[in-house]
Amino acid sequence: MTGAGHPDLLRTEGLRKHFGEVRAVDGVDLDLKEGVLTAVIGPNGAGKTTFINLLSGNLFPDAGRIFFLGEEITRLPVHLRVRRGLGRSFQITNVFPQLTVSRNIQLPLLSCLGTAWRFWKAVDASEEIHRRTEMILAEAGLEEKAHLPACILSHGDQRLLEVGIALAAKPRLILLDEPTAGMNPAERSRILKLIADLSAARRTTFVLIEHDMDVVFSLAQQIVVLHQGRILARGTPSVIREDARVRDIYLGGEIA
Amino acid sequence: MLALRWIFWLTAAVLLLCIPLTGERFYIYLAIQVLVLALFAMGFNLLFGYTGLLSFGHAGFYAAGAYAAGLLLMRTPLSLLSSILGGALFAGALGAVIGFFCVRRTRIYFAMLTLAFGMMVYALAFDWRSVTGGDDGLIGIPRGALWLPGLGAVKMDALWAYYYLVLAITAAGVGVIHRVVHSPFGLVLQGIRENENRAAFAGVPVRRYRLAAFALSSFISGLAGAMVAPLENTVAPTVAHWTKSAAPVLATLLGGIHTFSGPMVGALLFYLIQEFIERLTEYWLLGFGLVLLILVLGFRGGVVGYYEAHLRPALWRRFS
Amino acid sequence: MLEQLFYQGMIGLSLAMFLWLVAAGLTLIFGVLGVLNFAHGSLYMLGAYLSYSAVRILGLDFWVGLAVGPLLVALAGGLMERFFIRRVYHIDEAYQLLLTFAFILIFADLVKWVWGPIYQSAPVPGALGGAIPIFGRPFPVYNLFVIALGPLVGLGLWFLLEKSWWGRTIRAAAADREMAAAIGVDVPRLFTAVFMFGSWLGGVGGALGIPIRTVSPGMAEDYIIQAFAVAVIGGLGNLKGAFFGSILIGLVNAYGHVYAPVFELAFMYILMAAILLVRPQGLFGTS
Repeated sequence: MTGAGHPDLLRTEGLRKHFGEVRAVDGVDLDLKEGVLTAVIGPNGAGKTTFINLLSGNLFPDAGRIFFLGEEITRLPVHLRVRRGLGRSFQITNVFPQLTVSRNIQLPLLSCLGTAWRFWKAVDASEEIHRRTEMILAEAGLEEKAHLPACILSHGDQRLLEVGIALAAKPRLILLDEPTAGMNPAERSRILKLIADLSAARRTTFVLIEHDMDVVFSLAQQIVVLHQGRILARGTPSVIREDARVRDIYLGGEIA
Repeated sequence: MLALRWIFWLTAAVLLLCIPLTGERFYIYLAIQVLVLALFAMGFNLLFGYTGLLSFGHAGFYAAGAYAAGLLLMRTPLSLLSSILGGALFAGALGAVIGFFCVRRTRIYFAMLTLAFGMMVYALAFDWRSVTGGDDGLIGIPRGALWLPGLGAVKMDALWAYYYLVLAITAAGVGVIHRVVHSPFGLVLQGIRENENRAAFAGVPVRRYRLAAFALSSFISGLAGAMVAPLENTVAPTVAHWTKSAAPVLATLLGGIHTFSGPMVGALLFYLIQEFIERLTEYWLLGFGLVLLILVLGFRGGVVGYYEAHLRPALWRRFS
Repeated sequence: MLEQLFYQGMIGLSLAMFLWLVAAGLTLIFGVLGVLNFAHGSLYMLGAYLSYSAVRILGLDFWVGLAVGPLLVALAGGLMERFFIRRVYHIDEAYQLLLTFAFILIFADLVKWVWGPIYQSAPVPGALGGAIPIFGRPFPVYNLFVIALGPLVGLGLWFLLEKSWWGRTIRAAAADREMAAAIGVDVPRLFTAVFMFGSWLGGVGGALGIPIRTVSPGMAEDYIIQAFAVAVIGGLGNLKGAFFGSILIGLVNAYGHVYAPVFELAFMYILMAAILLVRPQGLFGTS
C-alpha cells in the first residue's frame, strides 16, 4: 500500500455498552489513522475486550456509532466488516483445528476474493490462491508446516497462523487481542517481529490489546489508555509514560 | 498411497458392475438397497460430517423425494429418469424452505428443529389423504421406461436393468458430492464446522452457507428416496418417520464422518451387519444399538477413519 | 357444545399429566446434566412394562407394581448413566444425542424380546374404578386421580429443588459443575442420582398409564417426541415450563382430535418449530 494512509480509518462516537450495572464501555470517542500502530491498555476490567468486540462486531453497542473508512458499520454483521477490511485475532487461539495450515489460510483468501461460492472447481485448481497462500505462509514463517493439521502446531505457531488467517482477508485494520498471551520468549519475539515488519511495510494497520508493557512500549506508535470504560489518556509512548493519571491507575506498577 | 486409493475405487467399480451377473434377485435387490443408503448417507453427511449439523429430520427429505417421484410416475407422462430427478428437486426445494428456518439455530436446537420439521412431513404424508393416500401411501407406482438417446424407451422391468440405473444415478450423485466437498465451497463448509466464529472472521456469511449445504443435502437425500419409489412400487408414510433417520446416521458413523467414502462403506457394512444379525435373531435393532454404543464410545472415526489413522500408515510402511 | 368443550378439556388434562411425568424427568436431566436423553421415552415404556408384569404376570397389587416398576427403571437409568453417558459429557453434544439414541434401539428390541410385540394392558385398580358424571357424561375416576396426581408431583419437585439441601446442591451443580466440585460436591455421584431420579419419574408415568393406555413396544417413540415438544415449548431445562407445556400439548391433542383431526398430528410439530424459532428459551423461560 503506497501513499498517505486513510486519515479516517476508524472512528467511534460516544460508544457505549453496559452489562447490567457494569459500564464496560462508557462513551468512547476515538479516531485512528491508517499506518499508526496503536496499543489499547488499561487495568483489568477497563473494558478493553468489550471495546474490541464492539469494533469487530461480536457485540453491538447500546449507544454510539462506529465508522470504518468513512462509512458507518455500527450494526454491520461480522463477515461484512471483514469484507470491508476489518479483521481480528482472539485472546484464545482461534484457528480451524482439523484443517491443514494452508487450508486455514485459503479459506479467508477464497471468501474475500469472492470465489468461495464456487462449488465445481477444486480449491487447488486456482493458481492465484496457491501463490497468495505461499506468500502469507512465508510471511508467517509457516511454509514448512503447510500440510500439517493446525491442531498439532505449537501454541506459538497457532498464534502466528491466526495472524496469517487475519492477513489473508486483506485487511486494512487488524485488531489483535493479546497476541503474545501464553507464549515463550522465542515465540514472542517471532510474532512481534511479524507485527513490526508488516506494520513497517504498511501492509496493514494494527490495533492491539496487550498486558505486557515491554511489548506495548517497544511496538506501539500510539497508546490509548482505557479506565472504567472511558479513555483516560492517549498519546505517544513517551507522553503516556510521563502521564501522572496513568501512573496512578497502575499504582506506579509496571509503567514506572 | 495414491495407488492404493485407485485400486480400491477400481475394485469397487468392477464388483458393482458385476453384481447382476450373479443372476440372484436377492443379491441384486440387496445391492440396490446398499446403493440407495450409500447415497442417502452421503447426503446426510454433507450436513453432519462436513458442516457440523446433526439433523434428525432427513427421513422427511428422503420421503419427499420418494413421494414426489411416485406421484410424477403415477400422474404425469414424465419418464422414469425425469421423475426421479423431479423427486430430488422437490426434496431440494423443500430443504431450501425448511433449511431457511433451521439454520437459524445450531447444536441441540438445530437437531430439535429438524426433528419437528421432519415430523411435519410425516404428518402431512399421513393426513393429506387426497394426494398422499394417507396411511396406505401411494400404491401401484409404475416403474416406467427410461428414454435413452438413440435407443428410445428402454424397459426397466427387469431388476438387473433397474440396478444399473440406480448404480448410474448413485455414481453421479457421489461424483457431484466429491466435486463439491473438494471445492472452495466445501472448504468453507468444513471451516464452519471447525470454528463458526473464526469462519465469520474470515468473511464467511455462515448462515447462507449452512442453508446451501442444507438444500444440497436434502436434494441428495431426496434423490436416494426417489429411486426407491419405482423399485418398491409403493411408498408409505412410515418412511418419513423420524426413527427412519437412524439408518443414514448409523451408516455414516460406521464408515466414518470425516472421510469422503465413509458413509458409502458404512452403508455396505450396515446391510452386511443386518443380514448377519438377522440370521441369528430377529432382533437386529438391538444389535445396531450395541454397535452404535461402541462407535460413539470408542470409534468415533468409524471404519474408514480407523483405516486412515492406523492401517494405512502401516500398509504404507510395509510396501514402500 | 360447551359441555363437550369442558369434557374434552378434562380428557386433555389427563393426557397432559402423563406427558408432564415424562417431560419432568427429561427436563430435570437436561437442566442438570446438559444431556438431552433420547431414550427417556424408552424408560417410560420400561416403567409401563415392568409394572404390567408385576400386576399381570406376578399377580401383585397395582400399587405394588407402581412402587416396584419405577424403582427398577431408576436402576436401569443409573446403569445407563454410570457406564455410558458419563463417558460423553466432555465431547460434542451430537454424540450425546447419538449415544442416547442407541438406547432407543436397544430398549425397543429388548422389550419385544421379553414381552413380545403385542399390545398389553392391565385392569384399573378397584378403588379407582368406575366413572362419575361430569357435564352429563361419565368420566373415569382413574383419569381424575391422574389429573390430581400431576400437580402434586410438581409441588413435590418444587419443594425438593427449592427447599431441600439436596435441591440446593443440584442447583449449584447445574449452574457450575467445577464450582460445585470445588466446594466438595461429589458431582459424578450427584449426576448419577439425578439421572436415576429423572428415570424414576419417567417410570412412574409409564406405570400409571397401564390401566388406561395400551402398553406396546412402539410407545417409546411416540412419547419421546411429545416429551421433546413439551420440553421445547416450556423451555429446555425449565420444569415450570414443562408443566404448563404439558397442559398446552395435552389440550391441543384433545381438542385437535375432535375439532381438527386433519391437523392433529402436524399442529404439535408446528408449535414446537415456531417456539424454537421465535422463543428458543421457551414460553416460560427468561432469555
